[in-house]
Amino acid sequence: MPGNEILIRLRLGKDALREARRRATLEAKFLELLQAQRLFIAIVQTRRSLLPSEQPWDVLREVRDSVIVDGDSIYTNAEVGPVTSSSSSHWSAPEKLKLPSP
Amino acid sequence: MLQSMADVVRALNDLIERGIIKDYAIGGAIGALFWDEVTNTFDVDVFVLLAQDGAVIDLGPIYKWAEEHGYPQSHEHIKISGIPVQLVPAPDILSEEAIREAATLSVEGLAVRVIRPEYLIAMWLKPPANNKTRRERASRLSESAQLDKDRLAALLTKYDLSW
Repeated sequence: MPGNEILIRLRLGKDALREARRRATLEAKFLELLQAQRLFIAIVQTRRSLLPSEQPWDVLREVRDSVIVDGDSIYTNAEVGPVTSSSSSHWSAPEKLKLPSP
Repeated sequence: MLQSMADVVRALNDLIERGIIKDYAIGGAIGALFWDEVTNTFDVDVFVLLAQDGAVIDLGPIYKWAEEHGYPQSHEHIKISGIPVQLVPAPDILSEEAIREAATLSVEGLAVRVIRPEYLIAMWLKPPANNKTRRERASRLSESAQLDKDRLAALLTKYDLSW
């Protein structure tokens, strides 16, 4: 059995991870939400029919959005596509979030 | 992505400018997202103070406005730039206070009203909204460093709420 010291360290690590997720940018959080919606649907539809409301947000088709869907990955890159709004988001490097393997 | 959310904010501000609603504040899981980790959701809950007076609540002007702007409607939601938005008239005094006391934050440089975490918790603990999912959300949000614990305690006392 792990000692108390190890358990405390593990718990602190978990807290630190949660705090980092809390402090993430709004862009990162919305991107994570899109991932969560797709992951939820992928899992749930193997078990039951989806409810009418259980649809991922249809925001990725917008050309002006700087998001690229590539298979099971979603990229963000502010340089992609024309920006027609007064967006203040300028990400210098693309960030890749990969869905965990089932 | 955030441009779509900014479109939602513009639409909400337009509702105020046209005098259809007096004020609004984003609540639910999206409201919490401004203060906490991400929780999965499929819509944006927006609590509104309607401009109309009287006991009868009429959402007709909102749906008419949505139709005029070409926003599709389905399952009590209005879809704005791909995001389903549910406009909920404040159901009680707590919700009205939550809207009035909402924080003004920023999305893509636009001012957006968001329900403060203490009020989100109070609303999730208040029957009949206090189902298991919402109580779990309330519990998670209560660990947020941005939470004003004194304010939350005062709210719970004021509205006779408990964990």
